[in-house]
Amino acid sequence: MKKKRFNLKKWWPYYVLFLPAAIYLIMFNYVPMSGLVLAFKEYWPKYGMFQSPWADPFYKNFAYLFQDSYFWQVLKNTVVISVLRFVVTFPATILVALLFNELRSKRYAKFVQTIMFIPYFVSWVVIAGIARNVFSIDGLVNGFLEMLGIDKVRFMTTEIPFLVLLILIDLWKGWGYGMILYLASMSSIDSGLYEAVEIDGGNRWTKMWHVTLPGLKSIIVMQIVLSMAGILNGGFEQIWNMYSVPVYNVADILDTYLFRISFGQEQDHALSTALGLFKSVIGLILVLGTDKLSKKISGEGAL
Amino acid sequence: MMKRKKKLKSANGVDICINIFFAIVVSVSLIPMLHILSLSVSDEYAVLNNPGMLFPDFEHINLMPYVAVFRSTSIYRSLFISFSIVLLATLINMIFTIFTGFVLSNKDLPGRNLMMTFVLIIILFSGGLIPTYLTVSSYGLVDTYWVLVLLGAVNGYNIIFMKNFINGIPKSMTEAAQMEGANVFQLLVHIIIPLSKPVIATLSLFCAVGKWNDWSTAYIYIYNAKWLKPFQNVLQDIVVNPDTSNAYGLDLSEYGTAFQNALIVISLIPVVVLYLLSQKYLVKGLFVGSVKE
Repeated sequence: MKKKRFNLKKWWPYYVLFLPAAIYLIMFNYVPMSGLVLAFKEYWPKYGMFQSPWADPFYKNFAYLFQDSYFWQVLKNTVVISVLRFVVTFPATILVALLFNELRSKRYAKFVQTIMFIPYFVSWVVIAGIARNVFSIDGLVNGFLEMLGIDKVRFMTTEIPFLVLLILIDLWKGWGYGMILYLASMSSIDSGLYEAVEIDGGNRWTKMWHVTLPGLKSIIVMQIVLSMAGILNGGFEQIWNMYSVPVYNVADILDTYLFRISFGQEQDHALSTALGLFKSVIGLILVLGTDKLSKKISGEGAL
Repeated sequence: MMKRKKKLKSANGVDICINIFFAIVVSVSLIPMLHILSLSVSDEYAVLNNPGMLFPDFEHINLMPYVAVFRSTSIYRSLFISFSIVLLATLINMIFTIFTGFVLSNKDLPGRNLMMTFVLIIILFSGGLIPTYLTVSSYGLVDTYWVLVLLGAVNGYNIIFMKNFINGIPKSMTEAAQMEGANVFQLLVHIIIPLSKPVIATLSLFCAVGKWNDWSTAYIYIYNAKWLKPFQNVLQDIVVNPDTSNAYGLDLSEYGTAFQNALIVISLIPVVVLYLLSQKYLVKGLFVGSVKE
């Protein structure tokens, strides 16, 4: 009855290989995480984040935040934008992937996929630059609308058109990538299932509905969990480069507000940390919650 | 016989519709970029006459904005900074990803679950903007080149992706190597890395493009050291907030928006070239890595 002994001679190389990442994570992830105590403090620059005095009462920053009507405004904007993004992008990407799967010509499919993926690699700065041009009052799109006899629209500075733009541009940027994730799952569907449908006399729509779509269940669940987790994000990089004062009412989100109170003119480091902590905690609860829920409903989780 | 023919024909109709649909998708993907490219090489007359052009009028070409871009030392410098960041950061990120992914893929390793949790936590939770800023600042990294390289060097998603791929490598291959007396490092270098080429290529591409496109790091951490600004930030100053472009000693009025468009085109070139070069591995890499164990 020998107890299994820990064999350092065998395992040390693995720990050595893990060490650099561990040191990095402690320095750049775990130290900042412990810095979240600042959310319950008053920030005094000369004392830094750990030595600054505690706020009195300790929840002072949160109390201030939750009493601020502008906080609720940006929270609402964030959720609205996230939900709109999800409602449009999620089904549209699945639909595109399903249709793509029906393309008969391999070469054409390859070409389509190559081109569709390009916008995914374009930075938000560049996309904002292009959008400012294409959607300007005498830009490409308004020229097209004029040709059709439709009134010109100030897309970048009118609330509703701006929201529509945010979501459609996001779809345009992401569908090439999103599609590949679904196609990867489709490729692992048992081809015997398709043959079974064929024998039963089903056509391509039956196959799509009864074999392909159910085969995507786990990736769909994963996408839902991930977008629930990101519901308080709303797309900082896109909005920061595209928005302007006239659309703040609908487009100012938690992250843009957070950025302004972190580094802008009226900066408040402790308040910003409190807002960041609020965001992280809600995000975490949502991920773990939806993951649990999806495990209960479909027997599959994303984590 | 007739019935069969009819069925075939209707299927073709659907196929044509799907083909047309994707032809539209392809156009929508390309038109904005084609439009900007055309504007950037057109002279003022052509732009005024036909602001919605898709193709340039070859009788009204003006390449002076491109010449002006390459005459500006601040833009030169920012391109150099960006390229060097991309190379260094991708290299560092890949070393972390391969090492850590490889370690976590070994299910027999004592303490492996703890290490896995250690990595997963950073995916699920973060210190947020200000705590991270104050930490980095306490290391003296604000206004340095290294902050641009080091931030985000360890990516939890990449590590998990890598781990999942290595788990998919047949056990027989790694066991055979170990039977022949290969140690852990030899196993990693001679077996795991060569077999992981598509995944490494895919992750490198995403990392390189991410770094090339990253503007927020310098936006936060480069404050006084303006000469360290990467190309995206210069581009942002000139294209998104045009009032600041004087800071680069550029006279925008001379070329109008053509100059901004030329910068956009220049920023797209490396990304598109890199993407097309690694296309061979890309889809394959995404396919294998995204399937859960």
